[in-house]
Amino acid sequence: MTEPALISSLRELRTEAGLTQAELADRVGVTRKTVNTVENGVFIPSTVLALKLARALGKPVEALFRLPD
Amino acid sequence: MAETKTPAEIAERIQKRRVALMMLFPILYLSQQAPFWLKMLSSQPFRFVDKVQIGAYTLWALALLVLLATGGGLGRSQAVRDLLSDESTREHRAKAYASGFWALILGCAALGVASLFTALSPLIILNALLTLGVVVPCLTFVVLERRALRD
Repeated sequence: MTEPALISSLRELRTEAGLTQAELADRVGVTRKTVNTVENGVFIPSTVLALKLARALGKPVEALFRLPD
Repeated sequence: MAETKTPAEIAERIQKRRVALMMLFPILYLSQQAPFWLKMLSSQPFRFVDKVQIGAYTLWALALLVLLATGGGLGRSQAVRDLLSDESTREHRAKAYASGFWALILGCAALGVASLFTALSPLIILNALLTLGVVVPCLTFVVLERRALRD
């Protein structure tokens, strides 16, 4: 299996923050589907969306996403 | 008291309906074209009613393209329409357009080869390319959206 281009910790951090996908989606102005695809690694978010997600969770963007080693 | 839905809830519901429609419509569009292709194969002349039907295919194709391009939600608030064309949807749409481009190029090549062996009327070429250019992007979009909606 090929390694993902971006490793996401979004699901863990969202759960830790006690938010549902729909609640997080609402905070950043996207649909639940987009949050779901980012969490599943199907979709690589734009810089703007990554920063919005980080802000919504009160974390630095590096905590949410990292490049594979 | 009537329950008011948030833009996100409305958008999610429309998204699911959009996927269902965009899966069903291209299939119906293809099946409705069966009489056209049967007539072409039998080399019968086109009657007025056939020409009207061909015009209807074109309108149907345009309606499918509008649905793909706008994301639906016409008549809904700007907030709902923005959600219906959010980031992942825009990426799926871009991939769908790309698949349509390749389908058209390959279709042109296939028709070019076929024209070496048989005479192709402009109507056949037009209808074949229109079908490829509409059905392939719509179904690509549906596949991507369905995958994205899966948990």
